[in-house]
Amino acid sequence: MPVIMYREAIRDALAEEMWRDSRVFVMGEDVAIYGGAYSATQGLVEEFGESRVRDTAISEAVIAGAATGAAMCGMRPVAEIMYVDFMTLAMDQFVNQAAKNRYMFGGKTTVPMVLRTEGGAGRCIAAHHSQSLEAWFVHAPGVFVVMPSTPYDAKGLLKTCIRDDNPILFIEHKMLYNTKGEVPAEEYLVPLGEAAVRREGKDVTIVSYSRMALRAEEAGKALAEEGIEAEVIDLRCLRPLDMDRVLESVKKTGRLVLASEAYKNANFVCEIIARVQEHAFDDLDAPIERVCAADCPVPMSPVLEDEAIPRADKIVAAAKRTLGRNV
Amino acid sequence: MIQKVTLPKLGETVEVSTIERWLKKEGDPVAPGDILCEITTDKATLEVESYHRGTLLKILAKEGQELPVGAVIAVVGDPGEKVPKEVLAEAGKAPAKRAAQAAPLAPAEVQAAAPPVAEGRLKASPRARRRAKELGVALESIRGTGPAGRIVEADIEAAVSPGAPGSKGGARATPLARKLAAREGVPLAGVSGTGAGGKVMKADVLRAKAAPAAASGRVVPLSPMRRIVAERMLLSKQTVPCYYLTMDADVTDLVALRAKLNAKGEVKVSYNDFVLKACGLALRRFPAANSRWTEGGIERRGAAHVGLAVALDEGLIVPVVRDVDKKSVLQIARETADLAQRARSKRLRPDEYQGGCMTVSNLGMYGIRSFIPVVNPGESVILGLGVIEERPVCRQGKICARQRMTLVLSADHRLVDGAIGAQFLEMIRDALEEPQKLVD
Repeated sequence: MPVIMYREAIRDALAEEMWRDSRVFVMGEDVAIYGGAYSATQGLVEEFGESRVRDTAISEAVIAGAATGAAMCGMRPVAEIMYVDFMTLAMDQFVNQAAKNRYMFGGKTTVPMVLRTEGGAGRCIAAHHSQSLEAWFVHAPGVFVVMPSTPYDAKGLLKTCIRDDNPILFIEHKMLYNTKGEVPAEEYLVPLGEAAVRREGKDVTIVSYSRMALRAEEAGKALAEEGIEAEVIDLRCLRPLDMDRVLESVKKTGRLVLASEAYKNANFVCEIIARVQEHAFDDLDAPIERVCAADCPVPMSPVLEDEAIPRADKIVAAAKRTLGRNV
Repeated sequence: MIQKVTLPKLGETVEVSTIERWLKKEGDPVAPGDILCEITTDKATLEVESYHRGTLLKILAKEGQELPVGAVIAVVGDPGEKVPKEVLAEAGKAPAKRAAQAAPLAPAEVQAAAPPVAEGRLKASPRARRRAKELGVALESIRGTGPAGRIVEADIEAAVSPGAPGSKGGARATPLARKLAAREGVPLAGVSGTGAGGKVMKADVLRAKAAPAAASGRVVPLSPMRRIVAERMLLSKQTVPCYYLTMDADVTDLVALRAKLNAKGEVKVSYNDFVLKACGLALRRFPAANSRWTEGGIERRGAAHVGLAVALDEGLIVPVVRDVDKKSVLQIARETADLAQRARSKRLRPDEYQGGCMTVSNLGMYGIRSFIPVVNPGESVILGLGVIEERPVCRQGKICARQRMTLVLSADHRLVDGAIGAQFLEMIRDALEEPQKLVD
């Protein structure tokens, strides 16, 4: 199976869907001539021309608003917001317009758009370019939020998102673009709302997504060396959420650790914790642990940034706490 | 604090009980709800639960010892606390005034008291609590190894595994094996386990149950029920001067009526239910049959309570239907079905198998034509029912086939003379031959 990079997987997904469906087009800041801030749209303008790969003004409100309008007019836009931190400027268009239109028009319109963006820390580019804001969007009814961690999932999920009729926020991770993974040469899709079990185990369940899913796998390996069998789940989609898979695992292990790169306070994982206690309270053998980012703006200092963001060793420690082991 | 554990009163007529088996030993921690020991009364084995929290300091009654209700059988207190001499002196004695004393114990089956109040907060995970409930383990006796010393599922599992101080009754067994053993009357202590860590599994219990039959000449210990059945039957044969009356009943109409009632499907009515009703009416008519022999004189009994013998694997028990004369056959049917079912699962309360005036015993289902039943001491008569079958009968000079059943009445001659007994049986027969009157 060919091994390609995460950013290549994104590019391939876009190209394949543009070949497949002439309504699909790409727009955003520097996505055409420059090829995207993280090179995820490299070569598309040469392949499809400037009418289908469009550079826009530096205005996230325009990008999100134009994408919403185009989608309602029958196009299938894939618009890029360079950093998830800039979604604040596109907020009204996305959560007030795109998210609600189908509902408020009684189903007479749909908004089949994908907003591609990226988030997360790791490059020491400070508090305006390093956040994980997925919780804000999961909160809004009417949108899906997808956060793949591997090239395989990135490609398969992006293709599914482009074909889906709902407005979708597709959040990539800046530290994953150059990661490599096996991706089939032939076409495939990854369905929305299906978590992936990265490692099976009976002692503790570790649930994560995006880059933290890789750190959770690392933690799973480290725990295995100490004889603790962790079950590691990569959610892949936060909405729709594969709660069945999480509950099934918690019922088996009785212990749950959640890892997220977003701020701890009102983190998306709190929603999972709430649902676990609703549906599996009697299966719990220990308080649920969450490993999240520090509740402060993401620091620029490499030392502080590293400390503020969950590492594998912190996930290992949390897993051990649920097992009553000394950390 | 020193707390006395006394022998609970398990039924209206129970004055004494026997300690069957101690499940806790001296020095064991005990908590409210823990089973301290098993006691035997008239045909039932019941568990004695602790109401107190602390350490079982002293056991004052030996296994096998028969004691009056209210007697002090054990002392619970703080670990290492000294038991005062005056408490030790009370061992085995019935209290002078039982009413003045708050009963600190209740048998598990009749306990309706509020749940024990935990002292301080006991930390256990929801999962551990669920498992503890499944295995019947008291959380109070377990040390937690989870986060912040919390009791977790693994601690519960460990507590019931071999050698664990908190394991129930000493024997380690799966919940299924425990249930099966209780139902089959197999003492778990004597079963060697083949499960993990010597845990007794279902298969082990089944093997233990089959073993006595295979090994001839082996002495099987008496179960409490077997011993009681033996004692009472011997007492009857030695002290009750019986005579026996035999009579055939033509139950052709009864068979048809029962079929008709059961076709309606409301309640399944058995022949016994009609017989119970007929007995109730006969008891009311013949006070001599509804009486009890006592040293002071003959006790006339007002109500007509009739027992129905129910066979169990390890013996038999006779649940009693109260006031059968006043109840409809359908109502009797409902009650007997419920009583028989609970008798088989050993869930009868003592007051449900005591106080009968007479007993009905039916072996018809085994094809027995007639048999002579043994009077249950304390009752005056017992009626044995044989099989209902088609037999040739002479009627007005012609032989015809009729549904017939043979009744045998064993009667205590001290209470019921032959002529009375005969009329008593005749009345029952007449009622069965005109069954419509029983249901009208």
